[in-house]
Amino acid sequence: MVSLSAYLTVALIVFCIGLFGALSHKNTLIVFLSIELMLNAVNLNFIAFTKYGFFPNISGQVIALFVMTVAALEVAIGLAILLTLYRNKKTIDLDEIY
Amino acid sequence: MAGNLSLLVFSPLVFGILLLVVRKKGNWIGILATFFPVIVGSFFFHQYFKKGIQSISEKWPWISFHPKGFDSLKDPSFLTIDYELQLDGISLAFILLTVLLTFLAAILSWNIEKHRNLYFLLLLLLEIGMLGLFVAANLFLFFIFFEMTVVCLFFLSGKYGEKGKEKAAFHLLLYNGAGSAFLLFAIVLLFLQTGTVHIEQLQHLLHTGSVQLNELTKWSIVLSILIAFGIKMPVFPFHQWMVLMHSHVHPAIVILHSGVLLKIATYGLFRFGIGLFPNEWEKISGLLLFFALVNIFYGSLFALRQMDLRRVWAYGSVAHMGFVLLGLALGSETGIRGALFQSISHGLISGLLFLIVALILTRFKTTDIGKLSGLRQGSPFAVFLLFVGGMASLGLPATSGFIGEFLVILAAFEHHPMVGTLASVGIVLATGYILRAILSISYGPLPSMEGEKGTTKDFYSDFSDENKGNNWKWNMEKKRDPRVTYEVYEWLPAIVFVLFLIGLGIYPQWLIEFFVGA
Amino acid sequence: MDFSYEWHVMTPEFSILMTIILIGILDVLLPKKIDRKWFGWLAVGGTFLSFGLFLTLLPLDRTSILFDTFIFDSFAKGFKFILLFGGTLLLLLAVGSKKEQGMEKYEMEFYVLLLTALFGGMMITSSNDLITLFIGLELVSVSSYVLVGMNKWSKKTNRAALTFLMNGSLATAITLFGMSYLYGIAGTTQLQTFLQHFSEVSNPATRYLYIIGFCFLFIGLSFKWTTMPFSLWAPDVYEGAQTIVTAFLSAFSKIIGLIMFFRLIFTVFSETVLDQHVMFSIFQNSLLILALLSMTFGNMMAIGQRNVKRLLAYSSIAHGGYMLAGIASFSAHSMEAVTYYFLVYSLITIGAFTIVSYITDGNEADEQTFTGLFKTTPLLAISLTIFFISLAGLPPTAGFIGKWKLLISIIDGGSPIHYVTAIGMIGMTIVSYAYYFRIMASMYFQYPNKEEKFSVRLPLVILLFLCIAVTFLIGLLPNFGTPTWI
Repeated sequence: MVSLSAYLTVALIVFCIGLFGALSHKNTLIVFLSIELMLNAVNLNFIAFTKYGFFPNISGQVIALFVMTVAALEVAIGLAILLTLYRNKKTIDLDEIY
Repeated sequence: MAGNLSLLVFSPLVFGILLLVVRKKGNWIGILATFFPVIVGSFFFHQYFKKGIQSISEKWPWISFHPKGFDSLKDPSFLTIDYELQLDGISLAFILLTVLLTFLAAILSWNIEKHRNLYFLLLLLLEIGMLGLFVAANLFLFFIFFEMTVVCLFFLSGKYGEKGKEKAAFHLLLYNGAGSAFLLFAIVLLFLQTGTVHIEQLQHLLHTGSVQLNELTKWSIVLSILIAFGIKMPVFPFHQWMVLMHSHVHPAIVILHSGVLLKIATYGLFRFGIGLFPNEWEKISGLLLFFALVNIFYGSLFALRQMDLRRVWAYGSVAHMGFVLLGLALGSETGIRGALFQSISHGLISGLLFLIVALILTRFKTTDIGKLSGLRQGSPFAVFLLFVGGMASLGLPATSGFIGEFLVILAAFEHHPMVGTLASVGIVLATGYILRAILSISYGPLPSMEGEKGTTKDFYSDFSDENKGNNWKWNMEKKRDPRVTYEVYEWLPAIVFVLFLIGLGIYPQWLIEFFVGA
Repeated sequence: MDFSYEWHVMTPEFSILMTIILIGILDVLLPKKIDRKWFGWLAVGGTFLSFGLFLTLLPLDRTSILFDTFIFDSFAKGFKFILLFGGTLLLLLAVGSKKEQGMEKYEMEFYVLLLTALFGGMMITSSNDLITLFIGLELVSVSSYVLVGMNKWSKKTNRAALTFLMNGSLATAITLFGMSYLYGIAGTTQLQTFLQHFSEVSNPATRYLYIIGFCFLFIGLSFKWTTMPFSLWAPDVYEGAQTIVTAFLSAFSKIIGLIMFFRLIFTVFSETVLDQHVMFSIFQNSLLILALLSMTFGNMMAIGQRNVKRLLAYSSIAHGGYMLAGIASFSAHSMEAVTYYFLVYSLITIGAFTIVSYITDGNEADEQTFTGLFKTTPLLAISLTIFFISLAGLPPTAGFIGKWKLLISIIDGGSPIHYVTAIGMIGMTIVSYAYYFRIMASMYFQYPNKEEKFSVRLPLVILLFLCIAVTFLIGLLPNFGTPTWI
């Protein structure tokens, strides 16, 4: 059996990779990808706690579903904004849009 | 009786409302609106002395700051602030000074052209602020009215004056803002520790020891109050804003500023410094005496080497406020009475002195001592006023200035002869700078009038504004020499000032009776 | 199980939702040639209906429905009042806007998105569950992303929207990460049960999880209300968005973030006891320091700004600091003080941005535009003066009473750090005089560059009148600002 701490560690590592990517990359699409990674780390956390938490129950999985929906929503809006920007500026590089 | 004091405080608005509706004749309405408080003030004067009512008060429930879950049945007045006004002799003295000076300043502002209604409206709001803070019975209301005066004065001084007025306005705002920040901190601390801001209740609680403040809190409150009013007074390192105000802003506003607003410091230190913390005041009096002497000498010495008449009067004010601080710092009955007397009398004196500044400015466009000379031939009336104002300022007997400084120095000799001696030297210095200024202006050849006939712009109207009602031009058309002739709105306030200065000098008991309670 | 809920406590939300759907359907069904102008009035009507329904609910005691996920308590009452009031004002602002303000292209979108944000905010104030809190927050965030990017032909706006979106989603991820730890300790999403479970867990390791969770939650949420450490997006976004949207962001979006944080602190953190420590006290000092930092940063940066929108953005960081200090002090007064300050702040900042958006066409808001405003349009100049005086916390406006209440609540905390925060707050308000009064000075003391009078429309007058009247009413009679039902 894999312990809770293993899940939490993996989630933390994924989260940190995502955070690093979001803060360091200049390509907007990569930034969106990194944010997705962070949200997936969150999901992993929630689901791990659902099974191995101090008070295991189902609502964590419900939150995970919501998080997935919201992640999709944010990316949809992000891409829409990116598209309008691309129309005006012909670039998606964060350094060049300023 | 209820509501009477509110009527006094808001009396400027009774006719002032008209300024919002009527577009023309703003100066008439302004003068009328400032005259009404004079009537109300004299009514209170009559009640106070003729009927022997010692204190008039008014109270309405206002705000409660009960925390959540507070049992309001146990002590309903805890952490509540009421709308409380109270008038005693000292307040009344300052109130009368305020209404008088505002009325005279409004008369002197007769030919303000630029946004005239706004000017008078701000003047009336300023008057409300001043009246309110002298009758406020609690610190909260005092603070509200205090801030109101600062904001109104900011707009007045930034808009009406000559070059450099905006800088002066910002100095005023930030210095006074810093002062009020300290005051606010002190008030909030007191409020939380004692549960009330009512001055008499606070006095009762603090003196009987039913509320024990720890040393740190107590001293931080005392020091905050000292700094707050020290900036207002102004005490030596914080005086720059006041000099700027005096030398760049329209004289009518300076009359109010120097005459009444600086006296808020006297009133505040007396009420909240000595009144609430007499023991701490005694412990710190040595330091205050030192600052008072620094003020006297610094002000006098700097006044000696100023070339601008307005700056001479400004530094002179610094020196005179030093005497006020000296009297308060001594803490004895004579000292305090002297300080209060000196405050009122200095209010009148600086009113007269800046009225002269206004007269000279309209006629000669400058207050530079180096350029002005020979006024004795050209404007004998101005010279007469200068001599009366100057003599009163340097404390010649039979003028009100003498009584105030005499009382203060008398009190100083009682306990600290050395301080008394030094302060007397300060008076000698005052003689020096005042005579230097007056003599160099009055004697010598008459300067040629600057500018050609009809082209010189009036000082009162702003330089860049369209300049319709030019008083100067009007005079020229009537073929009268404007240096010799005076308009009603110029000589009338001057005569009033002279009468008051000499009257108080001859019969000071009239004013001292106000301070019996002190 | 009893499923007969007291649905009437949700009627204010329902009426907003209905209005959203109605506007959406009408926009699709109506022929193209019909003017969409009146959608604004429809939205105002819906908000009024909601407001009326809300007022009928005021006498109710604490009511909870949907298995305790939706509660209607004094907290919800207070903040719903503020939200509905602010929402009405924002709608009036949009309805009364001129052509140059660039509203006519997006009639339907703007109102729908604004109402969605309002709906989300109202859900947050009432929700008693982590999931609904999160969903409410996302409703507000997502609609504000779109609102910011609405003027899609402007590069500046595109840039602002992208900055806003990326910062926002990063913040969401961080918030969620914090929430996941808190969920892990408590094993529930219900805020009341949270509290019980926290205290039952005695494992010392959970303490660290708790601290990490709280920190992440705080950092993520600080994005929303623009305080340190997540506040640097504000000036760019405020500048790039249309001014009407900026008004929405500064008043509404900010307050919603704070409400959520306040709700969490109010019900969970302040009461949690672990190892004989009240957990909140661990964070209290650092929160106060952060509050102090953001007021200093905001005010200091605002002094140098020449663009009024950027200036107000920095000032909103500073005000976020004041409010955070009020929340973090967590004395007996803070609830009342912060509620009051929210109300006042949302009113005056909406008022100020109304005028800014009205006299500056489109996006640019250079300080030059304000020169000599008193000469050309005295009404706007005087109104703006009142708002700025109120923002600067000067009497006799409501801003002063708000400042006073916050000060009481901070100093009541009693420890040295509270005193330092209070002194810092007073000092910083003095610093803020410098820039507020600079703009006022240029309005009153200088002459206009061009003699152009701004015509003033009726909805604008209503809005300004409402803002000013309420500012003075609750400034002079503060007991009105904190009715007994709060």
